[in-house]
Amino acid sequence: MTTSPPGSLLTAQGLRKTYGHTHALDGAEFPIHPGEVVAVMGPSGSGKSTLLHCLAGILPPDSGSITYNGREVTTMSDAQRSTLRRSEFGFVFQFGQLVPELTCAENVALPLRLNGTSRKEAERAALGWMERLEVDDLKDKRPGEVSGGQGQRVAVARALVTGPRVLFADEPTGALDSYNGERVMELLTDAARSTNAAVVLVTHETRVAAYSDREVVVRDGKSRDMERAI
Amino acid sequence: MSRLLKNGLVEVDGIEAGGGPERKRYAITHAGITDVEQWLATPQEPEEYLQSALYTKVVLALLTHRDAADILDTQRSEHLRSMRILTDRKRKGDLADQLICDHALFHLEADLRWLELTAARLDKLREAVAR
Repeated sequence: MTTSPPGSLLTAQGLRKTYGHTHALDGAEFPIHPGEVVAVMGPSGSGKSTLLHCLAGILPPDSGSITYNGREVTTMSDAQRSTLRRSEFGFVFQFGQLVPELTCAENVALPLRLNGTSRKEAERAALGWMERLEVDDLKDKRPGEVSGGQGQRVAVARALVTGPRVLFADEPTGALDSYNGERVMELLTDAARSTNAAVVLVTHETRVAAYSDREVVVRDGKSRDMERAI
Repeated sequence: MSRLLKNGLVEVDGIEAGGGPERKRYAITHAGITDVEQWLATPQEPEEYLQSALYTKVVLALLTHRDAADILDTQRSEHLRSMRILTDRKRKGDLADQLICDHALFHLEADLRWLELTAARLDKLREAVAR
């Protein structure tokens, strides 16, 4: 039986995940508290994306424990994990997350529609988030008609529209130039802090990681919490 | 050397006679080893041309079979601490603050890119210093 650090919202302990002969995770640990922004850093292939996918309940680890809000995630059924992801978690990735056939506003409203929210209510909430991310003027445009930076802000609005308690961001600025990358990080972290959401931020860019409160370094599948290390 | 001797970090281990003048042989003391350990474990203050000091630390760690990756992680963390302060100042400041902070941030980022590259080359460096 494992226990979570006091006050932590999401905790991983002793995570192991193997692909063939490769140990993607080899005993990784990770705690995050409400309202905290934690950068997950490490070289390519170190296991940081695998850690994010395990924490988010997308990928089951081979062994180890993941506790979200006092509940063990690894023993949940697929349906339970899917519900958890839809209702409690938000996701921002580097590329290709918006549905090209829908307008930007419809994209942002989509998670609410899937959760059964009425069209009118979902649109109202979507526009509110688009305003906060400064992309409300794009509401009727389709993703193919907006720039990379604008599209990424729409994706952040969509990730936050359900009021997630944890936002998972995997290289969210990886495809953007410095200016747009910084603007996305400013808006993303401001929005997350204002709702007390925790942010798990996977990045190899140190200027992006500088928007975090602390960093966890992953190397060879092992994690190192730098706040505790120093 | 006299300062090291005075501070008890090295001691005279013997005197060697040779063709020329006598040569003193010094040995590191326990206090000296502790001092080296402490120096290796303490991150450098982020500054220009930090690389030479950090390079020495990394090579010395490899030569003495210590974990050089740890030194790099610790240094990255120290740099990130400075970068967080600058980022916060930038967010709260006016355009002039933003420009000044960005300049400093890019310099710190350059250090860190060197650190990451060095971390990726540690195995090669380990082989080179072992030769």
